Amino acid sequence: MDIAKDKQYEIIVFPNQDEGLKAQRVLVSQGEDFKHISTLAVAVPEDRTRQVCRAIIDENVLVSGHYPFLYRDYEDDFFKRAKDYKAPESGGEFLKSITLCYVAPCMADEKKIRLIGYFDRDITEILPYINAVIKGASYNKGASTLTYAKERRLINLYNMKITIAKADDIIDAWRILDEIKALINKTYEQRSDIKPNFDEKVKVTALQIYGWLPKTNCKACGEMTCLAFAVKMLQGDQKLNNCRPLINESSFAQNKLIMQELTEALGI
Amino acid sequence: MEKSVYLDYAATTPVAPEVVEAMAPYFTDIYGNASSPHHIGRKARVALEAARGKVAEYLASSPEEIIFTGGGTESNNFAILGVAYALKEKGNHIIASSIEHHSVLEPLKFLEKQGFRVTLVPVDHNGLVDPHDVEKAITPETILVSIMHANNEIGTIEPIKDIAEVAHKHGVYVHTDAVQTFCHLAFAVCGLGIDLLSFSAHKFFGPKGVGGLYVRNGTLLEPFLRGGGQERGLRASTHNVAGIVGMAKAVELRSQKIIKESNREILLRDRFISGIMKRIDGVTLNGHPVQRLPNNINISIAGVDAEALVFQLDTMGIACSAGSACTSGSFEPSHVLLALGFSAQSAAEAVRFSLGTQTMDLDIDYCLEVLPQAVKNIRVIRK
Repeated sequence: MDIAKDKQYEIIVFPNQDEGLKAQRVLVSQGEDFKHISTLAVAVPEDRTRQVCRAIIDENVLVSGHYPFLYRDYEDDFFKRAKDYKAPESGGEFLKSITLCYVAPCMADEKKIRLIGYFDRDITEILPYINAVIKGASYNKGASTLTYAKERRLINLYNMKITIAKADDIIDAWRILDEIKALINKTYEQRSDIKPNFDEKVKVTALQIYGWLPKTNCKACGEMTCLAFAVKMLQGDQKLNNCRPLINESSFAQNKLIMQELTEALGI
Repeated sequence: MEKSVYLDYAATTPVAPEVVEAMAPYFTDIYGNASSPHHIGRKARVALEAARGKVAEYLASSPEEIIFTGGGTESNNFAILGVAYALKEKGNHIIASSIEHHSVLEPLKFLEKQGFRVTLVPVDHNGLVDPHDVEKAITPETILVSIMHANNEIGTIEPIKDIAEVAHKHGVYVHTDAVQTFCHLAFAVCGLGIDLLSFSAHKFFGPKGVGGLYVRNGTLLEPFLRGGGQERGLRASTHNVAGIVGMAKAVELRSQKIIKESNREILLRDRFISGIMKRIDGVTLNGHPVQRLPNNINISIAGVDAEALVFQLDTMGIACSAGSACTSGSFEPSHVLLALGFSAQSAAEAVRFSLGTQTMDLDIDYCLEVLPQAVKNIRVIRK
């Protein structure tokens, strides 16, 4: 199929090479009109997208999602870039693959895409090391997540998955995923030389927690004073949610956010 | 024919053919401006007031207590800003729940920037607001309590009557966002005891872009749109006569069969929920098990991202929603599910199916048949 400038197309993305090859075999055998981009993606006319996805899924082959092929892609020779894109030689054994589970346009910016990828193993143990390597990341120990921005792209690492929002296109997404995979493997290999960052830069004391509390000694939490509450919280005997004024009053909204992050990071 | 099952009625509904038919003349024949005194305008005026009567009949209110607006978001903005500005000399404190729709939360944020204080009361793990929490939050400065009648994501129905009672004990106005319940549940405004109530036509088989705000007689309210003096000067703008006529027709059609239809939906809903639980492991129902909208199913499937599932189901011809339509645009976890105590990760696994008049047993059968496959696909990708 040739791509015409004045027609609408969608790019259909597959989770990995195996599924991509199987899917394209299905399309060929069914005589479906499509343009091969790589083993991982094809372009189809916009009005055929759903039928094509359906036909593939009906053959028990997996599809991650699709997003619109833009005039911009036409102009900057998307197909050549896709063909030329080579994943870097696999460096490291810790994380072997990231499988694309979901791809869609960004809602706020239709010219960008967002995606979800799954790791082939749990990376929880390596997150604090990555937090040490990446500057400006926000690590959440309790939820085991790490969030950071790579230029304009928003990246969330969880224990078993990654989400990326505002990637330019699928080639950009593949590149970012490959870079992150390499980063995770490199960090794992060098972990004995890296001081893990558990985001406890501040050694938190009861007095510091007290500083974020309303300091009204309202006793709603059952403690006599806010300082007593802070001490109990640090020991894990009180929960942040029991501080009603902090949770409910809008004037403490900022303090609430900080305390929520703090307690999550501390796991209390 | 290709299978297509629409299970996103909470996002919007198809316009009933009778509604389209009722609206049609008001585009071409009875095109007058309802504010014009001549015979062509008067015809539109008559239709407008008849429509007001029909809406009032459903709510068991007086016709003059109904103000027509451009939809649910406008009605919520109107109620909150209207009361806040009208009563700002009396007080500056407003109470709402932490699971309100964005069209309530955003105007509240806007008011906070202008010196108002807002308290968001928490909800329990089922999404229920405790009227005691509302009472505890009331201060002498409180001017408004705004709690939704039922939540759009998880379907939990709030104890509005009890909340209104405690608020009124302290002389505080009560607004409820009834967008999800209007013409879906049978109720009368006097039964709820509220002062203001928002509704939107496209949620009950009426057209988009039209809705209303019930304002109890005597409630102080600052005008929302200033101009030509329509809607008692509270909401200026040439009347959307066709839209309003369509909404009234939708109310009329719907109110005749609310009980019958909701009983039918409850049966379908519960069969769907138990069917999913039987066929798929790791399923939890989000929201209140009983006190929920007849047409709402919100479930989390462990290890299955809702957005990926919505895509798989879409290719199989099933239209449903991850979180709510307004938040499904980003990877931001739903504020509703977070308020229920979900982690960001588990909030991303919540998917909503909402049923409607055209949902039949066969549709539920089809969903139950293909859902396990869709879930398996995603779980296979994960491995």
